[in-house]
Amino acid sequence: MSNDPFEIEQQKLLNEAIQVVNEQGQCMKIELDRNSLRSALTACASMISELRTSLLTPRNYYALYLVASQHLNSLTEHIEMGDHGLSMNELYELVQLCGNILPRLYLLIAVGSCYIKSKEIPAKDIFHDLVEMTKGVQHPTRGLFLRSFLSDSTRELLPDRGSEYNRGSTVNDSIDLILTNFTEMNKLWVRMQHGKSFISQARKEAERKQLGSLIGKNLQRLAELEGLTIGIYQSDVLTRILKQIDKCGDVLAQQILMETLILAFSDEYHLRTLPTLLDTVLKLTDGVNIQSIVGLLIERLSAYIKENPSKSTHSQGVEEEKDIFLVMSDYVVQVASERDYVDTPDMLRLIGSLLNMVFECFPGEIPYVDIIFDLVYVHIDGKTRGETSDCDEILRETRKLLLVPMETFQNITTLLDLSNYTKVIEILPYEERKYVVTRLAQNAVDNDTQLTSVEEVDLLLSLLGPLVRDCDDKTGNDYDEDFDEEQNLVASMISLFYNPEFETHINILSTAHEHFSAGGIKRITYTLVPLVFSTLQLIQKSGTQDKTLLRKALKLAGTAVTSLHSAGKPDISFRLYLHAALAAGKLGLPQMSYDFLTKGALTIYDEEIASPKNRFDAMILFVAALKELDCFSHDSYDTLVNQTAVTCSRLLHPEHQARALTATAGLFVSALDYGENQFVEAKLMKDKLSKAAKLVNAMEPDYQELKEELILEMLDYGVYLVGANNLDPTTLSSLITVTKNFFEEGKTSNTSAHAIHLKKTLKRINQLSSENEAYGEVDIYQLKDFFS
Amino acid sequence: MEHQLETEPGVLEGSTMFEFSFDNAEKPFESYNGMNVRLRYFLKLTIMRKFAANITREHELWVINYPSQQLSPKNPSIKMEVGIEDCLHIEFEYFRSKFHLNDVILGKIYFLLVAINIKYMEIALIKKESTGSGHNVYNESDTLAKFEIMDGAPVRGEVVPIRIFLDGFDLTPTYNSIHSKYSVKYYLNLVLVDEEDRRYFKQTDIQLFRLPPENSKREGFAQLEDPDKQPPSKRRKKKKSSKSKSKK
Repeated sequence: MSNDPFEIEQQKLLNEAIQVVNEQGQCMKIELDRNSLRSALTACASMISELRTSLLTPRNYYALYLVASQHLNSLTEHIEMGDHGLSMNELYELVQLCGNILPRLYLLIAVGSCYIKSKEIPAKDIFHDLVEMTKGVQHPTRGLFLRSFLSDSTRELLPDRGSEYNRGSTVNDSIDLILTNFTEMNKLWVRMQHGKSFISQARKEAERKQLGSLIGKNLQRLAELEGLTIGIYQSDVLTRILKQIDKCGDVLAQQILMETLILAFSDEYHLRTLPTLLDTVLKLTDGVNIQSIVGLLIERLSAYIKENPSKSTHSQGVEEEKDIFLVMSDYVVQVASERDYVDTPDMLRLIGSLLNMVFECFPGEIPYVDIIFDLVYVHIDGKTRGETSDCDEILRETRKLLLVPMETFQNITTLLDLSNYTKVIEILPYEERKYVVTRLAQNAVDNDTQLTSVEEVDLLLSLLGPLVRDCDDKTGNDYDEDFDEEQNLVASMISLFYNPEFETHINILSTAHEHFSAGGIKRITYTLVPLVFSTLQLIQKSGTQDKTLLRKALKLAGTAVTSLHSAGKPDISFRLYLHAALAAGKLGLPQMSYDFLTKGALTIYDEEIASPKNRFDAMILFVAALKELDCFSHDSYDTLVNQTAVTCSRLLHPEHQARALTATAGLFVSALDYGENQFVEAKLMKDKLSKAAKLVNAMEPDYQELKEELILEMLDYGVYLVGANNLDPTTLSSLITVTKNFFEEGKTSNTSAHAIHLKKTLKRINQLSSENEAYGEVDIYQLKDFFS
Repeated sequence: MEHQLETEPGVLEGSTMFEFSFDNAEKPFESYNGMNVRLRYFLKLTIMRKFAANITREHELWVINYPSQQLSPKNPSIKMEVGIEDCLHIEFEYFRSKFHLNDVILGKIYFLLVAINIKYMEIALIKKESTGSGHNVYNESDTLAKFEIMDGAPVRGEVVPIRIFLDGFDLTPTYNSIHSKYSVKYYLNLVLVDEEDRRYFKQTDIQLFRLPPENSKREGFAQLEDPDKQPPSKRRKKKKSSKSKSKK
């Protein structure tokens, strides 16, 4: 319970009043049980006199009213039983002797409803009398509840199609009763705000708002009348309701009643009376949030059309349905232009309902969506960058609007076709734009939406500005914790670019490259690498023989790598050059391959790869790539291999040199294909190995462990080369000799890990000798002593 | 008028019956029991004795007169516009000015201008009894009933109905200068009370008459107890400051 002294006082007053009501109600019941109706009426009048209070707030008054009306129910029940000895007419006059108006009228209504129920009199006579007499209560709260009581008491008694109270009355009488009561109640309700009061204005308005349902109840009653046909509604009822709403000029009343009207009556009725309804809404007092009213209307109509597609198609044809959208969108434009004060966020919410309508009712009408975004554009243009105080809200609503079609279509290419949609995105401030385009990109990735034309990709990547490049209007630091995620998202979009036409696909990638390369050093690391891979993959899969196209594609890859290289990414560029070279080689473009290796990879190696470790890694990769390539002429290959060998031998650390040289040895086998020079090749291979062995040998004895490791690697590679590259078995034998000496010098225990490794290698050679006789020639017995 | 029942003196023993008749005894006025005046008809029996005081007994008769001739069918309405400049303008209308004792007073009040906060409006039924004649007239009023006809403040343009059943009140017809001794008149006093408890009122003369029972369909029934006697808890009670309003 509240600690507000006012509330406490209210609660006290209410409790006291309820107590009196209950006491008097109890008295009334006792008298009724004794069948002493006159005394019961007296008690009842005293009970209702409690409702004469002016001290309770409307809410508490309502609570009191409920208690009292319950007691009144037992009175009417008793009267209806009819053994009280008075005619209905006598009773109807009897209650009017009461000197106080409020109890008198409550009793009159209670008895009047019994009178109608007795069917001794046409309902309309009583209706008319009651409506007339209630005019005596002009106090807003008391009058409102009295009329509410009238409305509730007559609810079951309304003449209507199929009602049993039709004698001498028609549904029109019910309509008159309800409408008059509605009008009277509304007048009092509106007046409520003016009276002097012991509560604050804001509180008063809040309480008044709660009472809105009492007035709105009348509209629901009307809607419940079965005899209220569309004809009557259109020609009479609606006009009268709207006139009252219009005339009262009260913001709160107009707002609530219009909404109630829309909710109470069937959507079919609204559809038929749309122009009238819309006209009235437009004329509502300034300050009424008509956007929300129209929004509600649109929602209802959409739901109706959606639920009854066949109905509207049959009766009015599809054209009619489309008209509704156009009618409503034109109307929204009108609302914006004719109302002096347009609250943009509300306007956007309204446009949102329109958008929902399109999706609910006209899912195929993509152009409608564009019309809607044109509206959005018009409304937010010039308001998105903090010009107005409600900017944040505008942006929030705009964001909602932009996300809806994304979620609905699940295909961003549809959106890219909508020029107004993209136009709206473009005028958003940076952060907001970034958010929206991120969602856009995410949507494409999630839905695996393929982007198949250069134009689409061009448009999309322009739109994705904040993700793809540094924007003029950027705020704060782009390279924050989200940067990584964002760029990965952009990168994953590359896999969506696709066109079965190889050339188009290349053009798409080329367009993408143009956009990406403008993205700055940090971005291209993320974007260009996948672009290069995507290009290379495309080339490999394409199966095309068109060298011109292939060259174009490779050139694109090359340019991308160059961009990366100039962005200061030597390691990754080096590797990508190798990939490009491999691709070119496999496609039979040795010149391009050669250029990638020499002008690309090796230049980078020479100029920019600095750390010994990286240089070593690079060379190992280079050797591996070279080993895969078989497109070169002998001379070119020779040059490359020799160059490689020289480069390897210039590595800083001996162990790097040793390993690299060992690897280089493997390159020579390719030379076998060139035929005549195989002895030279074999010799060179042997040279490299023995040079490597010497290098190992020359290392400081402190590095025994490392030395053993290196020599073992060499030995293993030698074993491989015998099989793969026709290495002279004697070379391997001598390698074994070197190893033996080495282990002996190092006094390595024959149970150490390296020793065990060596044993396994020997065992392997032994095994292999049964498959390849070359292995049989390897002298492994020289090691017998060593392992004995 | 006097009748001698037993002309011979003698002794009365036991129960004896005498027949008598006052033919054409005039009873021009109705019996009336007012505040300061009473009109009585009674039989007075006197037994005269020689040696002791006479014995007298009275038996009252209540006389009601139905109008012998048809009342004039003219029954004009009472219509009046009253108000205080820039403050309040109302027009009230009683549809008739003459009522029989079981009649209904019907009427309407039109609010033409309301610039004060009206709290409620009531109509009081007032009986005014004048006794004496010439310089010695003594008037006494009695408010028979107050009948609330409006609760709260109306706005301009509102029309509030009046409907008062006279059944519930103890009424007599209007008496005009009965035997040149007294008159009884009835007034309707329309009273408006504002939030500051200022009262604005206008008194209007009405005429009451008696209808033969066959013409008066209504039967009297008990008036409901006035709930005003049990005010809602906490109702503010202030001394009312009276203020007469002038006629326009």
